[in-house]
Amino acid sequence: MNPSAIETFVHTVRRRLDGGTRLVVVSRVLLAAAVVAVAWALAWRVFGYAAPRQGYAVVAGIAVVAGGLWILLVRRGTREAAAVADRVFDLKDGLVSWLDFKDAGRQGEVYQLNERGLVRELAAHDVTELRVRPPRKVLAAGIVLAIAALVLGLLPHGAAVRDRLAREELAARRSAELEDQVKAAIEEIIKAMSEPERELLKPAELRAWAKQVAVTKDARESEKQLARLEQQIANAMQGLEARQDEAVLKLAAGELAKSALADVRQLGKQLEARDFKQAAQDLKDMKPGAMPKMTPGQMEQLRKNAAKSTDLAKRMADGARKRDFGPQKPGDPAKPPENKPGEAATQRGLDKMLEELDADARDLAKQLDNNKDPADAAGAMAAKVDDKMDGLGKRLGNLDARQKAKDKLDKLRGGLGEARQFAQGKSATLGLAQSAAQGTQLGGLAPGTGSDATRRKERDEFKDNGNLAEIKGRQNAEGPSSSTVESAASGSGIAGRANVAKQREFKQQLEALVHRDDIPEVLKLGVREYFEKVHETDEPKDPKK
Amino acid sequence: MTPTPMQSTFESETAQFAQTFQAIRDEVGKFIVGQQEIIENVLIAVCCGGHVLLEGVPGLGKTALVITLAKALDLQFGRIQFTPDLLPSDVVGTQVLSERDGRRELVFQRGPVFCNILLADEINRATPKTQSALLETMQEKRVTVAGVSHPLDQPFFVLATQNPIESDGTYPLPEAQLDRFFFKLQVELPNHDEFAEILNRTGGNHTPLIQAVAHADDILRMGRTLREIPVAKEVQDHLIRIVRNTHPENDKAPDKVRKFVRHGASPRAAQAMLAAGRVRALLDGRFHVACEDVDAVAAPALCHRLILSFEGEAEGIKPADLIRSAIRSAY
Repeated sequence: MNPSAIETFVHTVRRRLDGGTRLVVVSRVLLAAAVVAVAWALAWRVFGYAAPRQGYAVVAGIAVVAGGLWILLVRRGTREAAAVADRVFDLKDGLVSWLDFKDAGRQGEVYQLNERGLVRELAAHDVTELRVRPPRKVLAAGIVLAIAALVLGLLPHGAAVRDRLAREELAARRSAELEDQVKAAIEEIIKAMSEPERELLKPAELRAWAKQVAVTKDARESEKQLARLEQQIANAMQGLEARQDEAVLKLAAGELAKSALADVRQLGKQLEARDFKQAAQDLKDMKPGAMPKMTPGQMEQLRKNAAKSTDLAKRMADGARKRDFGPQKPGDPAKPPENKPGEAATQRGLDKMLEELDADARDLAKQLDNNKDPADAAGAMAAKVDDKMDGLGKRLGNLDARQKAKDKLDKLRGGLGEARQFAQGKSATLGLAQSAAQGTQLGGLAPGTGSDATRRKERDEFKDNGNLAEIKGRQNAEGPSSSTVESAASGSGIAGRANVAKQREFKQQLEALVHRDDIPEVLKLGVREYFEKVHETDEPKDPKK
Repeated sequence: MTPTPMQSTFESETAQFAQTFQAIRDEVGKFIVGQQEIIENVLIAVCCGGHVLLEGVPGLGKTALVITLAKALDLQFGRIQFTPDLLPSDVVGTQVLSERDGRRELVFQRGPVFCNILLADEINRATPKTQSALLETMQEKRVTVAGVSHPLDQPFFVLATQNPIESDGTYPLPEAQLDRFFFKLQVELPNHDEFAEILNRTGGNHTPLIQAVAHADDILRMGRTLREIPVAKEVQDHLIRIVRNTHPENDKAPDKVRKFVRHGASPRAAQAMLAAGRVRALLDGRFHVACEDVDAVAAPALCHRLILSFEGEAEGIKPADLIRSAIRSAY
């Protein structure tokens, strides 16, 4: 007998059935994938976008994997194929029975007869009679939808989307350039900073600022980044302020200019010119220079320097005393006002420092005038004066560093205005790094005009691009003043509830104005400085006094 | 089909089986008009050694069928007309006092069951006591009287009849006895042509002569032959599922069965179905049992073994419908 004929028949049936199953699976998977692909494409097209090709690839990949797994799972076993063949060819469970007997290893005459009969019966049938109907409708629908998905996938972006993408790309390019230039500018600043400046402006902090300017596709976000950077620069500059010390030194300079001693006058000029570095150097030269054991020549030099230091200390202390700290009670020592927000705590006490220097210098002068030669005593006092002058010199050095740091930040801030224009697309080029680098160098050919009219040399910082009238006057001179009395509204002079509410409203508006990031920082700073100066001359009364 | 010299022994036996079966069917068909399915099922039951319960209205030829079959098989025929006053001893026999050689002794007088084919006519008219006397003979094929067992001749078949329309003075067969019948067959009214043929055959002076075409040995041999036919596990599982689906407690049973059946068929029903399926396979020229063989014999083998619930009886549910549902559920 030829059992292989039966096995061949069953295997052929199985292959045929599997082929049909594969066709069904492929059709269904194709339909499902096409539906998903069309939905994917439509979801993008609704918003005007071209459908990303990756979506198609993912759908195709998933379809292939799912289809492959599905085919493997629905593969028919031999028994199943035999059952189908029995049904189709009306074999009355012949194949199933034969397989069962074969697997059970049954042998005997009856099984052989059964097999023979089955072979005879199979010979009368053709496997091709087993029709595998392809799922035409499903296949057709899948193909049509697949073509539709393909067509939808080939469509480009809509006009609005193209424009928006172009804008985003432009914004990204610009923000990338801004990022590079801001970083370069800050690196330039860091490179140009001296050690004292680095202590005031930490390089790590500066670099952290630079990181805020990152690549973005949103032009508005780019502007916000610049505004935040500008805000930080402004805050840092405010922290570097030492107005009180500068004011004191200015008054001291005025007094120093009246000195008979050339060195002292020179110091005054340097202070007037705000050349604190040179002033510190000159101050160092004018130290008494105490030494443990001095020769007569050294002692003579000490006397000379002591005279200079006494003079300059007195004058500087006199100048400091001239600073108006507001109404005081009679007999109360002049007190400097509280530090303004942002001002360093080290600024506190310059007046006191000068007072102490003055006192020590006088003591030294007295000791020297008494003609006593307790070199140790004079030397001790001279050393004390030296220390005080060293402290003052450090203070001046610190002021110099602050000034330079402020200048650098100011230049950077100036460049950010141009950067803002660039980010908005109003400027085609950006030279932020160069302008920042230029700002680190002292001097320069001439003040630049800049894009912002308020940043001109020798101009009042409260200018608003020429919208306000410029007030000119003569320094340190007296002149006629005109005064008119405007008619005032009648009333008790005490603000009523409505006016208080109005005042509160104005305050809130101004505070909102300060926090807006589309207003240049220089304007906000100008407003702030205006109100600070206004309040400086109008100190609130101490309720305890 | 005449066995050829090239055929093996078993093949010739199966050929002989089919041939004998056909011969018996044809012979019986000479006298019995129509009822082909009934004749075939009766013959299947005879080949399998089973008993048959024929149910039908009077005058359909039930008794004639049995008598004709007995003639065709050349088997000793016995008949019992069951009546309400029939005693068990009237069925199985009794001991009678007999004088022999001057001695008196009790001698067992064999009853009418001692035959090869017993026609138990209107079995439902006998009392339960008398009906139960038939139980032992049907199952064990022997009679025990006064502690002495008397084996019956082989083969032994009981072909019982019952009239479905008479309810007065009848005693419905108990489930235990019903279960012992291999098949229960419904004899239907003949159609017009069959009516005409009946009249033609029996109305004249000439009645067909029934000759013996098979004998007891043939029947026994046929029984041995059919038991050689193998059944595949799938087919056997299908058979078992059908039988189990007649039980309402089976969670895979159809809803109809759960609703209208109180008790389902026993394993004896499965045995009957398997044996009958083998016969059908042989008659179809196959050497394996198919599911369709099992499906074909399910109704006659199961319908008398389903005990309907009150709802089933109240609604007049037919067991055949339930069996069809059970078959469908088995696939």
